[in-house]
Amino acid sequence: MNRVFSQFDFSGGSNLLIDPTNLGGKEYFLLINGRNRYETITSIKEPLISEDLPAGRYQGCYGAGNIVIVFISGLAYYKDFSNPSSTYLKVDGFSMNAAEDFLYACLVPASTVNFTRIPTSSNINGPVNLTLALTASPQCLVVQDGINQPMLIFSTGGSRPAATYDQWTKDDNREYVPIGKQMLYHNGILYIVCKDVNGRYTLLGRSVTGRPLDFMVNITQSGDKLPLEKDGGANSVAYRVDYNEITALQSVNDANGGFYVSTLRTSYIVTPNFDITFFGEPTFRSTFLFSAGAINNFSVTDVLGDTALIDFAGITSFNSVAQFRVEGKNSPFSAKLATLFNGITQSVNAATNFDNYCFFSMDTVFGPAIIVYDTLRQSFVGIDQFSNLGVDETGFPARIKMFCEIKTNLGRRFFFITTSNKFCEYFGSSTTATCSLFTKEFCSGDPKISTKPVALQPIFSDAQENGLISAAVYVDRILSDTGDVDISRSLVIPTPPIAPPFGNYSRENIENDKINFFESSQGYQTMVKISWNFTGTLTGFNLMSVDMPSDSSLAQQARNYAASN
Amino acid sequence: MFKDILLDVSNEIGVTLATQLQKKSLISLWINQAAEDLYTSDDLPGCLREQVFDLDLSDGMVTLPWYVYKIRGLRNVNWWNSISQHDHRMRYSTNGYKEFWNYGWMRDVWRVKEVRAIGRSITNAAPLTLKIPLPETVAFAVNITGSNNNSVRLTEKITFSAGVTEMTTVNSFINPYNEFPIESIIKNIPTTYDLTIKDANDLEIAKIPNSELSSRYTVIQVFDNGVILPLSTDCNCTEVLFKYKLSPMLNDFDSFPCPGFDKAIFYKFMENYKGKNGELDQAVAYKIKCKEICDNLNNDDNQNKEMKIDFGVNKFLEVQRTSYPGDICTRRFWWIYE
Repeated sequence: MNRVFSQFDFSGGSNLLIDPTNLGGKEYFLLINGRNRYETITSIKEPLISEDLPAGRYQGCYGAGNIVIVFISGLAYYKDFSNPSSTYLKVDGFSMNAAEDFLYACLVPASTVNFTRIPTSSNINGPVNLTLALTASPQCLVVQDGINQPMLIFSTGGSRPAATYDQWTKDDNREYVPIGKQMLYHNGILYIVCKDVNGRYTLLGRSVTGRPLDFMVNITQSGDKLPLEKDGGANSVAYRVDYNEITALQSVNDANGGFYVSTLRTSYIVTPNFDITFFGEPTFRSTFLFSAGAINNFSVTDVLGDTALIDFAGITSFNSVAQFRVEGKNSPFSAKLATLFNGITQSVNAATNFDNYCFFSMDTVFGPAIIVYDTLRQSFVGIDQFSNLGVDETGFPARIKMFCEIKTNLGRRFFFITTSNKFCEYFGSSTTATCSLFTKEFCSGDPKISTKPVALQPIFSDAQENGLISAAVYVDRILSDTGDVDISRSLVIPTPPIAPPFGNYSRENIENDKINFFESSQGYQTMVKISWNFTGTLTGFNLMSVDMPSDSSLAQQARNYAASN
Repeated sequence: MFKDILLDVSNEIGVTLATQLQKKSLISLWINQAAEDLYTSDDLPGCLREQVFDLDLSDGMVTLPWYVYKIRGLRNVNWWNSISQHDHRMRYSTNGYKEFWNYGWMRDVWRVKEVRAIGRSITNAAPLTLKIPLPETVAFAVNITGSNNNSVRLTEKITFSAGVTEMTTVNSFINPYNEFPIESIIKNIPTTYDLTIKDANDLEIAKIPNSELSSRYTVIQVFDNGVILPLSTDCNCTEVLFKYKLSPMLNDFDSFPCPGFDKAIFYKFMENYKGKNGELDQAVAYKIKCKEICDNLNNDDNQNKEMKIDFGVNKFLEVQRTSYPGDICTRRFWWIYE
């Protein structure tokens, strides 16, 4: 008897939590390099690797308005993407450590509280008076490498080192930025993760409120600094969340002005405490969130008002509002993809969101990949894996170190750097990435009836390029047979405005081709992999199978026969 | 060849030959069973062989080798006369037609007595010796079932380790009631080399070809005890038309004895497979397809040949048979020429 398995709605997304035979009718096992937002599966373009940046250690990429800044071997390069003819330019005067894996950067505005601070008493918990008006500090990008004095990059393309403790003066140069790594500008304060006396990054230094480049919080009664930095520097009023080093700082949606602070093992919300102040600045209290922490400063992102982070074992999310008011429970955000991370410890990760998708670059059982979450569908789409990213210094497939996004008058652009020292634009290539859909495992539902897949009939629409549709069947989880069919009928998609309902196509817009499996095996469960390397949309498929009933499976009979010999 | 049948079957029922080795082994068994079903159903075109045997007529019995499956015709080479095969029961009949005795010197009547595991009587009941000409690379076992003075049926397993070329049984096989004390000699796997079994007098009593799993000899009574021995000639040669023994197909390039029947075997396999799994309508369809191929091959083979047609028993002559007791030939045959 013939049996037909079908799927024409893929909106349920990827689900690796439950057995593939039990997936819902709209779910699938895994999608690679595709998107399912419109219930169909559409392929995406490969990343475009930038060829006009120098070789070296790629230490970071940051977006600032129209501009992308890329740090390579201690130098900085920038490009204005609002001008299509612009090229990468080197930032004048910029030099930092070339050997560090990451350079940390944070955009800060000009200072908003531009007055001299004079304590009202000798009590350090007392208030301060704001007296003489001062010149505002400039808006800039603060860059840290954890070793050298931080650099400030200005919108003019120039740069200079930030002033040190010794260079700070009460009246005409109220600028002092300590050396550190991760930074966060939140509610008028620049936070920097600084080294403690043991050389560990456990201290959370903070600037004066409204003055992001002025970390001289600790002042004398005359408003001046103490003679030595070790007595009056940023560390003297720094805050610690726990014993472990801080890995990430992130703004969150918190009505009390709190922000997210993570160590490798624990997450906290840190909230300013205006009841107890030091030199007129708030102290802090931290609220424990859960025993999981972000891998690094680039592995935390927003997901529809929640905050998602990559920890050692997977992706965790929490709602900063609900944490305080409802329950202290983090949601198993990545539960549907849990088996992707079985036995995997995360190391180099990045996370961000773009175009209502969240991207999590992680190590998976299938190798380094970008986990894609659709915030509109609220489901996991699948993973992106690109073959053109190369390998790192150890020969391991490249991982993404950092994402960045810019918005220009020409549109939004999405970039990343890799451990293979490449700077790439996501979806930027004209080449289509091979898209692969792994369906649920189809079965008869009756253990006495095995099936043998004999043909696949996929339906594609909007095929804009020549290419190949490939299919493979996995019977009882073994690759059993493959087949393919050429698509050589390029279709030019009409550009708006188009004539209703579909525009004027030059030829029919639907590909209906059959792929036969002449040498497939029989078995209880059958999964199909459908791959295509052209821009096109899979709207659905039929998998034709033949029933192979037997009281005991062929495999069992074969085992018994083998054992009897 | 076997490879083609295997491919057809594996593709049809879904077995990946390269990886699913246990399943491949099982369907190989089933294919051979289907081939045997087909082979034993009729004399398929190409299944018959002719061979002249020089027989040792020192007593009334001879054995023909393993590949003689069924005898279809006999002919005396020296005297050009055909030799009849008789059924056992004619010899013992007390009613109607009766075979009086076998004129051995004429050698015109043979009786196939039985199929045995050894080709001659054991002359010395000491333990047997099993030999292969060259060492095998994998171990195999031989099971000998027979009789001795203590047990009517006992089985001894002799294991040849890789590299070993000769083994000796522990038991002596003898049966005071039967001159053939060995019931079966069976290998567990096909081997690279033929296996020879000799008695203590170094006389070969059986041989198992490497592609076969058991020894097999056809025992024939060629004349009665006590008859006058045939005239001495240079050769006691008898021409035998026989159906060739079907050997199991094991290797990719092994062939069915009858050319052109690969597709018929495939359809017979599918008939058996579907029938076994309860898909009777499909089993019937495959059966019809198998029969169609066999019929076509038979018709094709019979084109432009002289045929001997059996018109059946003459009912009127049958009257004589019932009226006059005794040995009266009741059948008549006509030769026609096409």
